[in-house]
Amino acid sequence: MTNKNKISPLDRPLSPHLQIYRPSFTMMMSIMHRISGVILYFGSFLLLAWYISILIGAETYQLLNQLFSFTIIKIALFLFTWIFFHHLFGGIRHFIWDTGRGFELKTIEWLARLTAIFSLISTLIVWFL
Amino acid sequence: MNNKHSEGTHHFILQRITAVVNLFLGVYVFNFFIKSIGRPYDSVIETLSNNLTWLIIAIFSLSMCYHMWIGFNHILDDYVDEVKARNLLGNLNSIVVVIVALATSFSMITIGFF
Repeated sequence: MTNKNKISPLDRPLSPHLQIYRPSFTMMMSIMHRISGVILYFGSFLLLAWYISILIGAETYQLLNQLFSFTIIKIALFLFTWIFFHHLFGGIRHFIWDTGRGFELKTIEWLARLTAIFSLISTLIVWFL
Repeated sequence: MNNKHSEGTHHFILQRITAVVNLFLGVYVFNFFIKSIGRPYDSVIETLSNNLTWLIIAIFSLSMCYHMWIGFNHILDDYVDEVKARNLLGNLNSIVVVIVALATSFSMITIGFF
């Protein structure tokens, strides 16, 4: 097995870059799955901060609670919820593909659309129901 | 490589097992978090003093941490070619994940028992 790190980065063959492809909806949804994963990674610090504020006591909790009540923070939390559900439904899509089904172009297109629709509906349900 | 060649299948399977756990418990925890905005401290504590609630959050956090550890390592493997930088970021990833997992478990167990 050749170690890819033994070849200098400049000599390595390159795969076609992202900008070569014409952007498509399914491609965007695929990229969003990875981006949402990274956002959730850092979002976990927010959840941790919330748990710790509960642990410390009522005053710290209230401070964080007041911060969360600002409109701009609320919008950010709304987007964060949407990102969570986007990743969740994107994951379900991957489970469907794991069974070996759903690789027809039309199905892929529909799965991407359903991910977008369901993630938005779920976010609205959590926030307004 | 942060994800070693011998661990590929192992990580593939665990990424999916933790995904199923996150799917069910995560929705519960996220809903609890969002619905708690503006709620008084006592009412949140009351919910958390239920053994099932803090246990769900603790289990979800551990599953989430493992899931994000694998995910972040994959991203590093894909985009960071420089070995030293990749190993450094990989170690940083492990440290962050362990801190989040321990801190959440500690918080939940402490809140749950008091």
